[in-house]
Amino acid sequence: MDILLVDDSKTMRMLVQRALRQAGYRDLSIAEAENGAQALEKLAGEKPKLILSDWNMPEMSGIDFLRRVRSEKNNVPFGFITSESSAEIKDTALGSGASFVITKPFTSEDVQDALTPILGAR
Amino acid sequence: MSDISPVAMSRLFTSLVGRDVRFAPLSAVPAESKSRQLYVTYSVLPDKEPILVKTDLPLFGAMAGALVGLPYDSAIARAEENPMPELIRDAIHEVLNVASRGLSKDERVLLKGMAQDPIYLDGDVLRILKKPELTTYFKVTLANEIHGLFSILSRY
Repeated sequence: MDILLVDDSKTMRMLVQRALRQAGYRDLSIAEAENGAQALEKLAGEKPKLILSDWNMPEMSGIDFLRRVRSEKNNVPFGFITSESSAEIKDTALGSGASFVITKPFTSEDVQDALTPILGAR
Repeated sequence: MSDISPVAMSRLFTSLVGRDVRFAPLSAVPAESKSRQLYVTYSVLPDKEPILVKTDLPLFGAMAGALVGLPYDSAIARAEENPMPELIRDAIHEVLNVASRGLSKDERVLLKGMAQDPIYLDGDVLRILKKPELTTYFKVTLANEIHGLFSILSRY
């Protein structure tokens, strides 16, 4: 698993996968989860290069998921893709250890700009 | 609520679905739409003040189709199936989720749910539907092909 993609919307997971391909990240294996709790299970024993997560999800939100990951001393790069656009949300995300916040709607260029410092250019 | 910008809404939806979407404000109360309706509930944080959006289901079916790569006719037909197929329901939900960004300038607005029949609306929201204190109406055009109404109803 190279990227763990966490979003309760199947459509959004499909759109993010499409944007990743358009941004040139075709060679990476992507695992999906529907919420933070499911993502924690998928993360067990895995060392992805990046986690991409929605913010608002049932069962466990994206920010709670990030805090759980960091509480387990896991420093995997973590980015949000969310419709939340307020400065408060962005500050909370970055202050909790996220590397970036991409706001929906997004383009493949937005994804590329955010991922290049972490995964390199394609 | 009264500051919703048709330009910002147009940009938001155009960027999301990848087709030209135009929101044109209507100054008069429009005639009741003959299309099947979609009732969408949002919550403004932190007070959880509800906002109700009433819109034409075919319009959002078409936008959802654009989002996932379905032709408009096919997407609208699927949106009008009962029960609505998961693919189109999920895509409509995502369009409405992103629309929350256009409904407020400063506050956080969260999508709470959507229904095709007002009987499924909570009491507070139903009261807004019956007697909104503030209404904002838009005629929405998708790629010069699909037209529909988008009405924002709120307590104030």
